[in-house]
Amino acid sequence: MNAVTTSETSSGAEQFLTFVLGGEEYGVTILQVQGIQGWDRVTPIPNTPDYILGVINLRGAIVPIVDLRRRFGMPAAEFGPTTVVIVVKVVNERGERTLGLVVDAVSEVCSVSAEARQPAPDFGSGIKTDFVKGLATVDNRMVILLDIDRMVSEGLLGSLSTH
Amino acid sequence: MTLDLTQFHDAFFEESFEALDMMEASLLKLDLGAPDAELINTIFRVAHSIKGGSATFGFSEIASFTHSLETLLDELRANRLQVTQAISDLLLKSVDAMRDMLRAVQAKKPIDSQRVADLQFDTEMILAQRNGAAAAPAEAAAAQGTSTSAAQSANASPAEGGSSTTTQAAASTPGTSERRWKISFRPYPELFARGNDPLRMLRELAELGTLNVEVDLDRLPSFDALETQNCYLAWNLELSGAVDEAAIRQVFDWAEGDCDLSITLESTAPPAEDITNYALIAEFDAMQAASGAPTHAPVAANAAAPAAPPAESAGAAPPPNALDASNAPAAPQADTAATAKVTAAAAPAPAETPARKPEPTVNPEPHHAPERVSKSEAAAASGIGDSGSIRVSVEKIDELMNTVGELVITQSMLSQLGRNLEGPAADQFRLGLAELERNMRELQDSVMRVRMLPISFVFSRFPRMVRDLAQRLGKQIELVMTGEQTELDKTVLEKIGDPLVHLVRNSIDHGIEKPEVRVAKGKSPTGHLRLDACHRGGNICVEVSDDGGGLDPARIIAKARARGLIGPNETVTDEQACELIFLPGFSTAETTTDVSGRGVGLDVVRRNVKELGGSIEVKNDPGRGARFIITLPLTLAIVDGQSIAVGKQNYIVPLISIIESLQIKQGSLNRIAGRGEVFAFRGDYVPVIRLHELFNVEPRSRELDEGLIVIVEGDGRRVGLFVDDLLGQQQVVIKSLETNYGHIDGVSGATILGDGSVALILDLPGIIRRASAGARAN
Repeated sequence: MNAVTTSETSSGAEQFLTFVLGGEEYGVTILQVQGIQGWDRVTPIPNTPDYILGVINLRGAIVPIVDLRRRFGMPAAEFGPTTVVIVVKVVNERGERTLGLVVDAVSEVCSVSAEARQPAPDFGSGIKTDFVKGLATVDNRMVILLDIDRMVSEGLLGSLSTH
Repeated sequence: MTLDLTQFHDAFFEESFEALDMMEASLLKLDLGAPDAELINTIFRVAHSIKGGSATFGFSEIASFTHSLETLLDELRANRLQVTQAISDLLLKSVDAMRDMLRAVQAKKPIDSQRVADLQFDTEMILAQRNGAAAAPAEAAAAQGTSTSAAQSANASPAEGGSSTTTQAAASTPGTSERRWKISFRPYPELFARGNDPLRMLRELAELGTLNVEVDLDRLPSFDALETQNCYLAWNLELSGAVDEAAIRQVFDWAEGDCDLSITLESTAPPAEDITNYALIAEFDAMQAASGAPTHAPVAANAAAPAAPPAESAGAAPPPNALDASNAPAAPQADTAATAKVTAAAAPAPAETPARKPEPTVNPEPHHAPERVSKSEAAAASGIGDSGSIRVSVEKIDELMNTVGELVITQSMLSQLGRNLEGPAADQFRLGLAELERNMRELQDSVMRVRMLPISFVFSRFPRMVRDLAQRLGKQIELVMTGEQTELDKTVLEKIGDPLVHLVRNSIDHGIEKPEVRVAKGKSPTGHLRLDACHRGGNICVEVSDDGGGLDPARIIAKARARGLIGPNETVTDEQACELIFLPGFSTAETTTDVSGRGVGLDVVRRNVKELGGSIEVKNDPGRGARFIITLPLTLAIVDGQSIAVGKQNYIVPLISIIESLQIKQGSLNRIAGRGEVFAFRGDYVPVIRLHELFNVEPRSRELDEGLIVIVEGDGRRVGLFVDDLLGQQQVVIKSLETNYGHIDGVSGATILGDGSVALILDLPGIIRRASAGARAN
């Protein structure tokens, strides 16, 4: 965890797309974002965890859709007009994958300098911070920076795709 | 200037592997008794261009090895050596060695130099033996080509040249319509700079008929004004023979635009006077040497480049291909060193560029002046097997397929919209839509066809394999292949290779008997193995058949009993017995050989074929042979599917696995242990799988008699899928779920429907496995 944060802080300012999830603000590296689209019907896949809502057709490719609220154990919310799917690309040792994240709403693209970032605090065993890359302060708001690569390789899809 | 040659490596390897395949195919076609000259030429050209390429890229081991090979091939080509079994074997081994060397170089691994050295030694032994037997004439011929000075040979050639002309005249078969052409060939001074070599052209012309050459020295400037890079000579040629103008023009193809050329038909008179071609060509050599030599002293380095091309072709090996030619300027230093000492007497010597060093060989004169240089060598230089095709990566085609798929979806959305449209323009709009739909379908078909390759890509490996195996097992086998041009999808093609290899091996090892056995049975000693491919309906049929012993049902049954595959008292018909060989763990060979019987049985073949959505059956004719028939879908990218509905969800079931759909009657359902449901279907009890339970979706109805039962087969088992409804049948494009997600039990992929939504394609073996696992867990 330390190694990750130190290497990140040395890389200077980075741009993040921020979005709202249950009143909290999260950010993903803009470089990983492929696009944003409105919520539409998905095709459920049988026998998958509840946070995998299903798959959609994204320009001819079959892309899984993840409900981030359920993924983080938050109470499920009705999908409304602001509900959007952020399509992100994840690169790990198994290659490149595209997936969609369902969030309550997108807010903005902001630049986060190295100084404005700090490592995620340790809440002890109660709260899992595995997917949190760090915290940033943007206009006096706190933004939780997500480590999507890690989220995918550790448990999000990883456990399912191993068999 | 340093040119980064590594960027060309991939192309070189690719072309070389292809060329080696061609060489192998040609070698196998080579008839020992009466070898086809064109085949030998093909083989020679391959060796030659690989040599040239590898020398250019600095793969000296390959270049050196290929060079020995080329020398041997040259002997064969010139008919100085007969193609024997030993030579043919050696050449085949050399092909393997070259392939391995190229692979090693490609993977940047060390080359197995011992093996290469052994083969090279064998090659040179054959050459040495040949030379020992016919040393005198060979050397005479060799002497003419290489060692002596150009000037000398120009003077001293009447004797030698005379003899060579006689052979030449004998070689060129006098055609029925002898014609005499007058050709005026006046190259522009820059001819050399464009990589053209007049000598090569003259030789090619000499090949066409009897050539009379006259050099025109009018443009030759005074000595101090002479620029070595320029061509000052012009020629007046007279060519007699059964030649048409196109053939002559072809010789000058490459020089077009670099010369003034006029070709006129003189007469249809008999061949002209007997003037020796070689003397004249040698004269030209002398001229070249003369034009090159003087400037060596002041600017030796400068001289190297222009002197090299003509000198090279005058001297030793056949003229280089394009790659080879670039080699000369690439090694100016070495060349300069050699040419600095050039005297007129030694002019041709530097042609042996240090890049290909003389081989340590018993043969005193390994390099022979080529009697002729075929024009196809120029073609070989421009690319092997140029069949008007281009290389496209599969990704690009897949991208194209995706885009077309998207278009199809958009189009079907428009069509749906159009149906509900009203107003004056609606009809026209619908007409346009119909047109669009038709074009769309054509476009989709065309793109699909791009992925199709002829099955010869798979078949091509068999001649060699059959030959080697037959030799090893002491059998005589003739392989006949038909329908090699039958096209099928690349992915299917890649996966059908192994099963076919297995079947062919089986036929050779177990099917076809040894010659003595065959004779005793009253068959011809040579066994016949056939590979046939053809289209049948929407499928492709591949048959492997032999006229060997066929399957012995009695033995199969005995074996199956011994293995416990069938009960001791079970009666089995002959046809059922033949099916038994596809069971896991079955092999009837008395002894396992290294050819087949390595624990991989026909069950694997069947599984592979099934995975491709195909089927395999065997037609047995005991004592007279067996026929294995594989039926495959044309493509893996598309499947004929049946849409089914469960609750709000639609799924696609591959049509090929559906046996029947029926509505179940109350009372035909039975329960086992209160839980497992089975129903009677044609005398069998078929278990019911409730898809809604398995996939955890809310169905419209849980009552079996309110929905439908789709009887499907997977992994050899039949089950009834309980679904709410059957929707339409359609062809669907299969998309992978694993690209972005992962494997899901019971789902083989997904497809995009006409409205843009995604439907999952069911994997029936997976569903059956899952259902039975679930039943056991309960």
